[in-house]
Amino acid sequence: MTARVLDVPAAATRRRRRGGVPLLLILPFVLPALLLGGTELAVRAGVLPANLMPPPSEVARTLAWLAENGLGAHLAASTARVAVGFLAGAGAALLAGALVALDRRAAALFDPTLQALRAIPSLAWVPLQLLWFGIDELPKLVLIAIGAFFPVYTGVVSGFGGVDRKLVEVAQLYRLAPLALVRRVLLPAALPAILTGLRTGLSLAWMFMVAAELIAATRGLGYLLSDGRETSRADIVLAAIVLLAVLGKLSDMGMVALERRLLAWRDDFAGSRA
Amino acid sequence: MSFLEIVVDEKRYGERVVLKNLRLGLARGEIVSLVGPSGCGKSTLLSIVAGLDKGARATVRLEGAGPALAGAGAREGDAREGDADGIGFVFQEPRLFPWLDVARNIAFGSAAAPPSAAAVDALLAEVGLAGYGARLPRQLSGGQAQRVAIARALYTRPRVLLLDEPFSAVDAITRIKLQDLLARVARERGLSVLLVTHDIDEAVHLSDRIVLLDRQPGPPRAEMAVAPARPRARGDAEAARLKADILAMFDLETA
Repeated sequence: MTARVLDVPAAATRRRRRGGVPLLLILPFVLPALLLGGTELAVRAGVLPANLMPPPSEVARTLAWLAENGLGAHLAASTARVAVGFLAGAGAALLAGALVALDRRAAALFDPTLQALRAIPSLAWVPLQLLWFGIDELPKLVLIAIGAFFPVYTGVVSGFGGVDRKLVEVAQLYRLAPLALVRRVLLPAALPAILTGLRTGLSLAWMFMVAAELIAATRGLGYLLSDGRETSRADIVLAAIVLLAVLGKLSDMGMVALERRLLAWRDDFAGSRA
Repeated sequence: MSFLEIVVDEKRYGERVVLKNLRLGLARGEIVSLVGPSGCGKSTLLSIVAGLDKGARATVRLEGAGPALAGAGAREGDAREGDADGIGFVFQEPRLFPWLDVARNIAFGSAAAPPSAAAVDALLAEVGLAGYGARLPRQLSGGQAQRVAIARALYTRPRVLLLDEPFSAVDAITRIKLQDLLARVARERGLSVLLVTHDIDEAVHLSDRIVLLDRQPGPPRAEMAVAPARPRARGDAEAARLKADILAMFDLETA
């Protein structure tokens, strides 16, 4: 081994040390810091009207105040709605998707209708639901479930449909019974697409929760949004938005963690997600 | 009557007849290579024997296995999970399940859960991969993956091994090693082997008998016994003569 060869990694180490904290860890925070700091300064200097665009520091104070005045109940109400609506919608989608993907007659029976329904923007159901179910809890849950249903359904159908025929042939070689074929081959092979569908479905569930609560609610983050608007409290609206961002991100991180756990076998997984 | 008796009356894809009036018998412990131009139905024949092709008018009988092996759907009723009818299959690609580790891939054909760790370990040693049980398929080289595929085919203790161009996708050195592995495993286990290959050298080196199929569906164009006893030295003079004969036969067609 020559000294020249050893020199290469040494030079790389030196370069990194001189740079201090790696640039890639700092970059993500640059834009948020600029935006928040810029807003704060602009409002204080009177460039932006404080009643429409409260400075970040005031939004933070509002959040602190809300935390001591019933924020827990709002968070609990919204989270519970998302959880129940998502579970119902995703559960139905898993069943319907598996049925359509695995049985050609079920596909012929259900898939065209479901595809037609999918073309309807889900919010278009709201007036009908208000007529049918009133402004109770049920229409909110149904709306969230509809929102979560279609991405999961599409993921399941495309996941099962995309299973490598060559792997199925191996299972046929060993005379796997239909149920064992699903459990041991089709489900694991379709899992990446199913999990992607679940992840999209969950983010849509949050979206439709806000829509449902904006229309009629007495509790929840969507209620905070509409309450803030009606009382001209932009700080409350912004506080609710911040909370939605945090909750959405947290639940998405949960899904990503689940994906990482279940799909650790995938060749491309480690590098594909941040 | 042969140990494995294959009779294909007719197999067609739509209007196109791919196999017709083809009879093929394998003795116990015999290695037979199927050689022929692409599209002559070699792989289809293997699928029929393995029961993967239900659409053929064909009969497959394995000594002692009863009529359950009659092709064309007749076998479905009396089949059990994990039972490959005494037949092991190795495809052109390893076809390992990427979400299962090597040990679970090998034991895939087992209806028992959990499968026998001792049996898996013994197979890993037999194919030269001792200690690889916990690896995932993506951590294997092409040659190693194909060794796992061979171990999986052996797990159900088959008496017949079907191989569909099993070594065509690996480099030359790996191919020789895998051929040696197949020769050893077949000899030690007394397996009857039906090998589809494009590689005349491979056919001449490994088999007791070579069956040449024509593009035109029908009985084999020629059958030739390979005389030198196995295990065979590579570059054996008589084997070389035989290779020349076979190549000449194909040259007539391509000239």
